[in-house]
Amino acid sequence: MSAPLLEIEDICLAVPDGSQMRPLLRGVSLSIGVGEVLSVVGESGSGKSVTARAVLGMLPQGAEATGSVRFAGSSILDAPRDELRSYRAHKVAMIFQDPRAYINPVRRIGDYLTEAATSIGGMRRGAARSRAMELLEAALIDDPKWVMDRYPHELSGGMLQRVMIAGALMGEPELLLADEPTTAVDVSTQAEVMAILGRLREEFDLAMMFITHDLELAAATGDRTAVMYAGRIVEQQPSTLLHERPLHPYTVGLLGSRPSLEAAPDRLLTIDGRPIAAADAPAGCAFEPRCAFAEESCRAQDPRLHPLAGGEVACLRAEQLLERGMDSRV
Amino acid sequence: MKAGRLISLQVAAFALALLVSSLVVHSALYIAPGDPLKVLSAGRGLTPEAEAALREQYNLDDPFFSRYVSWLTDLVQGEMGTSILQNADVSALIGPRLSSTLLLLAMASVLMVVVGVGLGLAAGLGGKWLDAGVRAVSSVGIATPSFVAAIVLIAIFSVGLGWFPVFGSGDGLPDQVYHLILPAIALAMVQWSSIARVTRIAVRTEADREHVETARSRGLPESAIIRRHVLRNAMIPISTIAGLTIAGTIAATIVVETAFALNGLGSLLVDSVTSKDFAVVQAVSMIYVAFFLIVNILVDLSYALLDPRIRTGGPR
Amino acid sequence: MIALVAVFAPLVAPADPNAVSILEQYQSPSSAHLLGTDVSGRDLLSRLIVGSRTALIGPLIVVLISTPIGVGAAILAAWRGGWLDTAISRTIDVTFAFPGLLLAIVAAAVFTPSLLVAALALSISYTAYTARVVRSEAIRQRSQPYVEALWVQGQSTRAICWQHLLPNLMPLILAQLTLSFAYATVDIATISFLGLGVQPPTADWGSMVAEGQVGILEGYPQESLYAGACLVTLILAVSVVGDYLTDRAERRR
Repeated sequence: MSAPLLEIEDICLAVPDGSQMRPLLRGVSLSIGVGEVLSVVGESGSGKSVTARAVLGMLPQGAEATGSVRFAGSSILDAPRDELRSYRAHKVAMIFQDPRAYINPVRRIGDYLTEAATSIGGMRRGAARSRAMELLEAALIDDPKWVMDRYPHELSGGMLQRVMIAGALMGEPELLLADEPTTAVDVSTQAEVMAILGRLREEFDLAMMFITHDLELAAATGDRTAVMYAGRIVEQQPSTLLHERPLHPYTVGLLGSRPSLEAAPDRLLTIDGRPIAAADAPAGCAFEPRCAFAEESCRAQDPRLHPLAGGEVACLRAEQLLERGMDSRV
Repeated sequence: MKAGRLISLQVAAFALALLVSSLVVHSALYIAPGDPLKVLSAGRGLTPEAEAALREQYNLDDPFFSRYVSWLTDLVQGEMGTSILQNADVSALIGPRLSSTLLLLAMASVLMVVVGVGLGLAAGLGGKWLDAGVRAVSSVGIATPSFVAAIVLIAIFSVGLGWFPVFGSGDGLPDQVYHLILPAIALAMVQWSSIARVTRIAVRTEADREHVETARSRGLPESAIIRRHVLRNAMIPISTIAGLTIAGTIAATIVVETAFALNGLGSLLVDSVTSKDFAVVQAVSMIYVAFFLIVNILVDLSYALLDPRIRTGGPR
Repeated sequence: MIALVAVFAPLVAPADPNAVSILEQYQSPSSAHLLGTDVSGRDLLSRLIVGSRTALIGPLIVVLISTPIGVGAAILAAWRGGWLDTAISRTIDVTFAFPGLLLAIVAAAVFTPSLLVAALALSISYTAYTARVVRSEAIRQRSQPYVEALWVQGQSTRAICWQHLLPNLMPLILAQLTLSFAYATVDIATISFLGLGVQPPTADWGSMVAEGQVGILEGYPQESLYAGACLVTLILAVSVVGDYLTDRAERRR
């Protein structure tokens, strides 16, 4: 495999909380190759959004970070300001969850789409506008010219999301970060947006980090899927394998707790307890308190991500559980 | 188009408020205890001719409503009656004083907006110390009545240091402006605190918005982000408060003019009230009310102009 | 913040009981006066202390009148909605067209200038102000699910308003009350300064500032400055409390 486009190595991130530092990420490592799609799944507090922003070099105020983020070999976290801005303008782009909040309500769509291109991208206004309209068309917007002159509040949520996607592609990025782009829209729009993303990805050969809390969507979208819990990645596998043969108890729980239209289980499997944030992680395994397969040793030692059966997992009993199989309840 | 409807609504509201105010002002004369004639003449003795003239002028023998209507029509045409005290046409009295008051208001407005917004920006965009400093100064500023500020300024700068004249309005434009500097500061001082406060909050709020994050994620330079996203959006609440503050200052000009013995509309009003010169009180009050309403309408309109969400209505 | 208020409150409060006994003294001229005397030789300190009464009474009247009426109108408008709401809102808007200060000045022209007249005139303006602020919150509260739940339970309108709506509005009402008090203090002092409120020889901080103007020119700024300082201190203290209450009311949302 060629050198990965994005490489994140053991990122630990903490933010000031009063006089102490509160951890957000406790050692996250992942990589994305050229044109590859990595889905990142996790519930709230898992640290997935923070990770995505770290890729852009956008750390929270006052944050302290260790580890490295490398894009095409160059380090992002300590890049000088000009380089960082150029990187954000041309190499990586991000689309966000709630387009209505993430697009300036008092400026027109046309301004929104072209502002980055004309200021830091060095494009001339006319060229930027025509490119914007091309991208709007590619995002399946019928009347790009009309939309360009509109204000955000005049458009529906689905259209705004498409506008946001078009805006992200203006800089011709190589990597797209999508932070739960379908969470705020209804199911049919969700399908549309995913379809548009898929097509555009292929057309421009984009790599993508797709963040979601929906495990099925993640597996359907990504070549590989990473599962995050309490500020760390607990499992990473090619998506198809993840579905058939999950390696981590948390993933099992996530898969099992989704109601299925085909098979009707006797009882819907739930995981006891609630997801925790990195700051609340206990000394040993963070998932141990809620884990159906936990043993004494799990409380003592903090498992690190290690390769297993074609993927990676952070679980002390992973090998055992793989052999034995993790059906509904043990 | 929505904007057109908005404007016509505003004008209608303006007309209504003006009408009601005029009614109140006009009927005030008759609410006053005692015979209106006595009030008008403020207890001074009147010759029979003077009395008849007054009766005629104020149509005192006519029913209330026709009196009101004739007063109103006169007013609109610029005929504001006669001042009993000064025995002159009210409109003649008002003319030069109106310009003096307007000049004062203009100077004070510029001052309070520039300083207020400046302070607010410094507090909102600057560091912690600057922020805390501005907030402390603002608190005191808001708590100070304008006349106290006026007196303090006079004590320090006019009497103490002798930099500025104490009283009077001066002749000619440059001299007038010179005389108005201290009064303008007194007016602005009280108000620039509230403008600064709102500016600071607005800037802070806008800087935290998600769309700013989007701009940053696209590599826009920080200065462009502040200009185009933070400030541009903050302008909406800032200009609204600036406009409303200016409207609120209109009444304060009355006080400051008295404190500085300026030749403005406010001092005319106070004098006429003390001497119960009704025609003047009525006319001047209407002018103040009209002006106040006009500024308020301008504020509403500018709000609609700045915030496209108001202009064009809801989503498709 | 609260400490600041606690410090200032005692400064003003004990002045009140003192005023009754010092009242005999205040006309006496010169000799051994803590803060000096004013232009007519009256003891400044006593006048300042006595002035605190008018400084507090005036705004108190304004607030006591405007708050109940304003809140009542606001709740009525919010509850009934429809044409009643429109009527009340329009009335509020029109009242706003007349700046309170101007209203008080005109009132002074119509009636004999006095503290009461000024306070009553201002009350009208402040009623509108309070009503407007409380109304928008009352409307917000009205559309909350708990109101509907109570209604379905069969509670009467009066019960809902008194026992549930009002307590929920209390933080905002208290905050408004305090702020109104602060603004009313400014306005009343201003009116007295103009000579249209408290009449001489009654001691009042506002009119003392006015009377002291002559003194300034002759190099004796004490009367005006001390009275002014008292005013600012009082207003500042009340505003601080008002801001604090407003913050608390907003945080509850």
